[in-house]
Amino acid sequence: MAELYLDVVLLEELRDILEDEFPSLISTYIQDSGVRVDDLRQAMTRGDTEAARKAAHNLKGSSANLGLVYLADLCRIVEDAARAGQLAGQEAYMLLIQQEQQHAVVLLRDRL
Amino acid sequence: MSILSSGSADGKELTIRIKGRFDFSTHQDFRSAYESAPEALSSFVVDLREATYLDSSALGMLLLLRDHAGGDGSRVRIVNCNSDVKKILAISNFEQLFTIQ
Amino acid sequence: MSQPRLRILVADDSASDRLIMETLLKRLGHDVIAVKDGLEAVQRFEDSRPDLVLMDVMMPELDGIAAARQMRELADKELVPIIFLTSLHDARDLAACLDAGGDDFLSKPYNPVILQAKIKAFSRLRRLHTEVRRQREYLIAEQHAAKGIFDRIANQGELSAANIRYLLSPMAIFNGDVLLAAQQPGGDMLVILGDFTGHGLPAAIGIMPMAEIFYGMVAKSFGLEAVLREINTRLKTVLPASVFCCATAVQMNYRNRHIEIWAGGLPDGLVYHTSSAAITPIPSTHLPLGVLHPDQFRYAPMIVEMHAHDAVYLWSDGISETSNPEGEMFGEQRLLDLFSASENRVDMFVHITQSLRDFSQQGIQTDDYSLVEIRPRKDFNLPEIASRLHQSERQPRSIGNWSLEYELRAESLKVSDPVPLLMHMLLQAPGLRAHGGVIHTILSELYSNALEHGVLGLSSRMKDDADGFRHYYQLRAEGLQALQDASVRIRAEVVPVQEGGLLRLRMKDSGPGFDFNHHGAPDQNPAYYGRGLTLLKSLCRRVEYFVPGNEVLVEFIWREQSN
Repeated sequence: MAELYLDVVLLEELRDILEDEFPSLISTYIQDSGVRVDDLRQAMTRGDTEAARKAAHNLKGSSANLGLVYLADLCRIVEDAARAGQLAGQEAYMLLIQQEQQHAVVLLRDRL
Repeated sequence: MSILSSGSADGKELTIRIKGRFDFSTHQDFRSAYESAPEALSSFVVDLREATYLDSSALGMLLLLRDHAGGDGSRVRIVNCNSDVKKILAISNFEQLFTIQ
Repeated sequence: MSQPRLRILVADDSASDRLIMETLLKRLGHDVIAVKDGLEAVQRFEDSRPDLVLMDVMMPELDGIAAARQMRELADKELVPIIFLTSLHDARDLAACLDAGGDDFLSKPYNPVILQAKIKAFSRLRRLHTEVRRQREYLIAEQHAAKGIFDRIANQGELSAANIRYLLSPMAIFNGDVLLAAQQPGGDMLVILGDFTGHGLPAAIGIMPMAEIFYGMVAKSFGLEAVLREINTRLKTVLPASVFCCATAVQMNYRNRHIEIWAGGLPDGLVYHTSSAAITPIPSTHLPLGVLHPDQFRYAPMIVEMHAHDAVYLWSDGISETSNPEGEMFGEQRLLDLFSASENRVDMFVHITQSLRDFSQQGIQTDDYSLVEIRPRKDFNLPEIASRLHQSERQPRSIGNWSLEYELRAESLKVSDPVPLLMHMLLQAPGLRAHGGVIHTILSELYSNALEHGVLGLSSRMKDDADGFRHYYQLRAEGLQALQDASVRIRAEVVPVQEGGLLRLRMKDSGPGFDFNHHGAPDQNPAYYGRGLTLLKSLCRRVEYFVPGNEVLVEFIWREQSN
């Protein structure tokens, strides 16, 4: 089931590459992603499409790098909407992103 | 630019066809065409029907061929020249060294 | 297959992404500088000059696009590959990245295999670029040196003479163009415009021996044929078969008042007759220099009468290839039209150069052609003796006391010109060197009288009209060809006298002679006046003919210079 949300192969490759640094990477991501989600929510509340776009884009990239494919996809959808200036109606995705980021934290900690 | 060479049935004459610009970039290929041909050749033909342009390096290459072919005793024909090519050969008076058709 | 250790700058505002990339790169053996925004990226770029930049597009402070632009400016001529790290998927965004100066992308999630391949590729590209730059700088330095030598060679001659105007393309040495001009001691001017085949330095290498031979021989009074033969022989020997020199050579022969032109391989040139605005084209009738064996070299020049307001124009093919902003070429026809359409007395040289500039709409700096105008010197009807000599030997102290006798018979009369050889011998006498011009004039007059009037029986009155002119030279060529029994004997003697030195010249030809006692008016006795006796009498202390008129003696005295 985890495979729908996490590319395990990629994550394991990262573990091989980072070796001792791996735990540090995980905790860095966990911390940063939480901040990005907050930034995104605040931006959407303000209606700031530019800030929303940046936050979504950033989270998308770093999530992809850790194999969190589902979360990355959600961010892409919001990024595109923000780019087109259409934040209205994206609240559902915002909730999903929030949820999925918390889910990712659990998945990652499990793999430490 | 491309070079195509073909020998006659009796193996005595080599025809080198030039397609495109006959200039400095042709140098290597032109040289290989006649240098790699068998020794028994007694005459050469340079076919310029599809040559679009001729400059002084081309004239130099023709002289090298003539040298290779035996210099004064050589038989080198330059054929199918269009009027531009004929003019260039005429100004250099190359008909004094080659048979031009 | 080890890779060189690179210094790589990584810019990404995501800490986790930074950490991943940094680790990946360090694993590959490279040094990493990691920054979190565009501003810091530019700063670190400036102070550490990385070999490669991996940069995120969206960053705070300064985004990747702007940072890339600044880095390009800082890098100047150096090649620094910039790879954008991005999860952008919109084609427009990606295009904007490339526009800004990005060289490639790497998408997230990072694929280590692809990352390594790209680093390798860009590192190789950078090495190539540096190598090319280095070679180019070397080549430029080499070419500057060559140009320096070329300029010195060109300045050896008479290009600054009043009757010559020229424009030499600044690219001349690279095109293989050469322009040489020199004056014989007797006053004749020789000019050669040449175009070596091939490109760049190898083509230009032929210029040096050609210039050495030209200046050396002209200073020793050799004429156009001898000079060209020698140049042809040297180029044939020294240069590879595929390198030769297309050239047009001109001799302004003031004594005979004609212009002698040999054209081998250069397409363009003409004689412009200002008074009638008519053109006599100069066709190329010989093979270029350096192609034929010495014994096959041909010399069959065009001979044109010299008139005060005529001029010879020679040019390189850069003229017809000059193009305007629309890419159209000037072409030969337009140039010829300039001559035929001009009014009398317009300054053609200025007219041509101005028309070319107007056409190309570019300034003087881009003139990439060579053009030369040769006019007869002013007062060419009067003899002018050049006093400039080719100083190459030291002079012994005493006048000396010697004589020589030299006889040419039919075979030699047909092909040899004894004047340069005799000049060489005579100028061994110190003191005579300063009078080289006078001596040359005297010798040339005497010899041409002996050969043309004495042996061949030609009358110079024939040259008075245009048809007669052509006829004269035709008869001269035919007469020489048919010579069977004929001779010209020359005796030269140098002795010291009270005033200084005495040169006694005696010339005897095998012709019938002429009536040298009864001058009468010029049109009554053309045989007398055609022999330049007035000139000889003005130069020599004594001019005496012996019966039946085929033998003459002249004496020339010079004062010794006190040192």
